[in-house]
Amino acid sequence: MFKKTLSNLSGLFSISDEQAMWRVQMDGDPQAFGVLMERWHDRIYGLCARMLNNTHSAEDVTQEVFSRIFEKRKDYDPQRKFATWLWRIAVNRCYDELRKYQRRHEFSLEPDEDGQAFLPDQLIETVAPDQQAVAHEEAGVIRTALAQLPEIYRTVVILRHYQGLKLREIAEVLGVPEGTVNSRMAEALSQLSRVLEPQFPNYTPQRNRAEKRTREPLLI
Amino acid sequence: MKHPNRDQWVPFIFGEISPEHKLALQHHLAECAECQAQVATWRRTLKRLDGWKVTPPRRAAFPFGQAARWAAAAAVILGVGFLAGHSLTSRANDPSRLEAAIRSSVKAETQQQVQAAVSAELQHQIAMGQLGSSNLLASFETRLAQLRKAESAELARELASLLEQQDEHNRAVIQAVLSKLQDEHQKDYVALRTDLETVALAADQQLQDTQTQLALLNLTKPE
Repeated sequence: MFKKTLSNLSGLFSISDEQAMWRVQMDGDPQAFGVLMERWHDRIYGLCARMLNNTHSAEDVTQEVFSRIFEKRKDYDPQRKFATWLWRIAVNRCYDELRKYQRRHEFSLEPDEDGQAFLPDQLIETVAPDQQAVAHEEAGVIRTALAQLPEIYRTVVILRHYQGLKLREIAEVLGVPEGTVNSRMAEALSQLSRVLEPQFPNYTPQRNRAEKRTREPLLI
Repeated sequence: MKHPNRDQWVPFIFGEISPEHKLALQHHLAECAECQAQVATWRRTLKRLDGWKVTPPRRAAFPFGQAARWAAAAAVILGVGFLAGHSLTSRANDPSRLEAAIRSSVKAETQQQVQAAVSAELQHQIAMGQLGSSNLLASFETRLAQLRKAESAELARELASLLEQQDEHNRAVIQAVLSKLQDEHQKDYVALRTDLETVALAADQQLQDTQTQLALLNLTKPE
């Protein structure tokens, strides 16, 4: 009996996202839903944190995304990739949240009063102490530069660079042609370069600096 | 020199370009300082973006885990409920049980009603002193017909209700039970009528005896 239960659980963890979502769709299977959350929570959180530039909102929105996935489980088309559906819901939910910010005039690109940016405790935690100040400042500059980008440009940069989606996959998530994604990415990189290049006049290749750090794999 | 469209460099720097396009762009890049500068700038920018990392919140603080556990508990309870309900439904759907239940229920109710009706009618007729075999029999027949009609209507209602709730298989079973019950009801009716005729004849005879005795009493009554 116990072995059978273990076997079922291990079976759950080996199933594809689409199979897990099918179980959620058909039976409201909480175990399958838990598997999907385990697999996707951190990545969705990463998207939300960078899109919203706010960790507290990112936590709330991430939970709302998964709540929405469960509520709308009947709408999921098993013929399509689960990840595409999930990313689309998450991106749209971020857009909704940004609309709210704009309406409330709460969205600010400026750092907090203490001089720290929005995620003071979320910066590179594995950087050696003497490098932290530099990393902190660098991260603040990057965050500000990204926050200044229009949403459609910021979205493609975050999805491609931080979340690792292919350009073709981004096109599917956003429901636009791949050429549009390329165009948005080109514009995003041009705008970011215009902001970031002057901020780092004594540019040292990231690879050299990264080698000095006790760097762990990308957390998101 | 004709430069490639700016957008074409995007799949190039992300390594998502077909081999033939890649070769063409590499060939251009080797000869064009302007495009080299642009590609180098974009690559630097992408590397700089690595400077912003976020750490997901600790899972322990994530309330959805608790929600998932609650959901799992709810699913277990629902599952047990479903199994229990299924088992009860299966019992209810058992044809022999269903037939026995309907048969005993209807039969007991019919007998009780007929006995009550006969008893009430006899008492009423005797009390009113309107005993007469033909009247008595006609009256019984009328009451029995009404009773039978009411019982049949009640039975039909019950069975219609059951029919709506059951599947095709059970419908067939119920219809068979209904047919059997109708046959038995007919037999009961014939038996009851025979009994009532006997009762009526006996009552008629008793009436005649009573009248005879009354006449004798009147005759023998001292003036």
